[in-house]
Amino acid sequence: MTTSNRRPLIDVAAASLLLTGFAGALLAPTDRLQGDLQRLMYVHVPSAWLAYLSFAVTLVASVARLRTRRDRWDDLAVSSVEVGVFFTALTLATGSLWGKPVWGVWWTWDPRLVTTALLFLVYLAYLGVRRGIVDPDVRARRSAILGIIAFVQIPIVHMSVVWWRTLHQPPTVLKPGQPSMDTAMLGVLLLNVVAFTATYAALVRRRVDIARAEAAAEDALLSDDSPLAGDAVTAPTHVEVLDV
Amino acid sequence: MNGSLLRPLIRAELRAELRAGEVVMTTIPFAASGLLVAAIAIGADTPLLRRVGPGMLWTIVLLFGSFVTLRRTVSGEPTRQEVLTLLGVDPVIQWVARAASSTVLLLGVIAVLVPVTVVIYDPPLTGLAAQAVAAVLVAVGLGALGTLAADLTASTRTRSSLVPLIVTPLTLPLILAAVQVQEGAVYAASPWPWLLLAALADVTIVLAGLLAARTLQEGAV
Repeated sequence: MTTSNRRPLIDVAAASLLLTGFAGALLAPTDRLQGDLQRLMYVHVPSAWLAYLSFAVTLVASVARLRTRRDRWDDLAVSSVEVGVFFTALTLATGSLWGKPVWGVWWTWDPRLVTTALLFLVYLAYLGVRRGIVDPDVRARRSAILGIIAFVQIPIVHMSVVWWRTLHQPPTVLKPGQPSMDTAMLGVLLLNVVAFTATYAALVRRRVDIARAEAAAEDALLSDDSPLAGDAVTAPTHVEVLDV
Repeated sequence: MNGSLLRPLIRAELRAELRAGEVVMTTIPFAASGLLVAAIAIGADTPLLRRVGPGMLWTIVLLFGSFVTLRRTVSGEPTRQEVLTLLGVDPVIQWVARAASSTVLLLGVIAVLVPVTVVIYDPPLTGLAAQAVAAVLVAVGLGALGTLAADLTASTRTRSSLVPLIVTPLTLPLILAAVQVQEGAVYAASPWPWLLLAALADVTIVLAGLLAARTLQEGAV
């Protein structure tokens, strides 16, 4: 099976998993304290996990781009950042929606909230830097460096709930020892994590294809032998000038 | 890496800034007016002003510090950088010179803004030695990160907004440390954990700058 044949397969798998995850989130046991509101967890936690994964992929792709100078790594890095920024925004939005009824505010001075917002801003700057640079090699090199530096924030975001006093609950799944969660809820959460990861893979795959198509179009434009606009005008010859 | 070149390069950077006067004539007055306007917005609540004064100082230093690293004598003259590269000056030395000159200028900015903050906000003046160390650490980190961000965004049209966008989130440990050292001094808490955090952030930023300098300048000339 060729790579292009596999693409619809990934899309179908991602869509099916998402639907199953959505159904699981609706059928999962209701939280005793927060009620149905807690079901936001099935979107909020996988989104946060995807943000970590996306930026980790960008880190690896950025290091690989600097080492090998192959453009495919740059395509992967930027594609992963774009998808990661979307999932970070989703994490912030769902967190804010969850925070209002539980904490009484949309936003508060909380280390997890603030560090996640800063993470979002730095990766927006990453996309901004790329947009401002025309030369593909310079663009790939600079964004690879920023992709590596920006990743420093991920451990800070994850550990912020441990290092500082915070309203946000400490880790319940990614922590030493047993996860502190009902087994059925944990199962649905893990299903949604898998579904979101498959969606991430499908989205990144599509975005890499677009990046390659863009690069090919850029190359074709630069190396094309087709006539330029100015070619229609020819300079007058010496004789023509003298005749006038 | 030829270290003997470092001192003349820093001196040249500072002399160019002294002639242009951008930081002294524009950035510092603008930052001071920021402190004043913020105090007006807060109102005549003296205890509140006392409490928020140090935080306001570091916010202003952070926001206006980015402009120090983007000053015209550095960003407006890419030809000087190109000449230095053609002369065989190591990109790492060039980066260190630019970061060090920005640090010196940032220390100057902080030295002017501290008395302005004292006059306007009247914060408690305790633990001054630890706060001075924190100020140096903030200047080093901000100078290095600003220089790195300026290199990352060189010759882009949106540079003036991209540099603060990169610098502001990544300097969070520095600003947090500076504010917490001041607050800790009020409650007689040890400043060392926060100073260590700022020092660790500085080491990380400077290392990133040193490692990235050659890659960033590759193919620039």
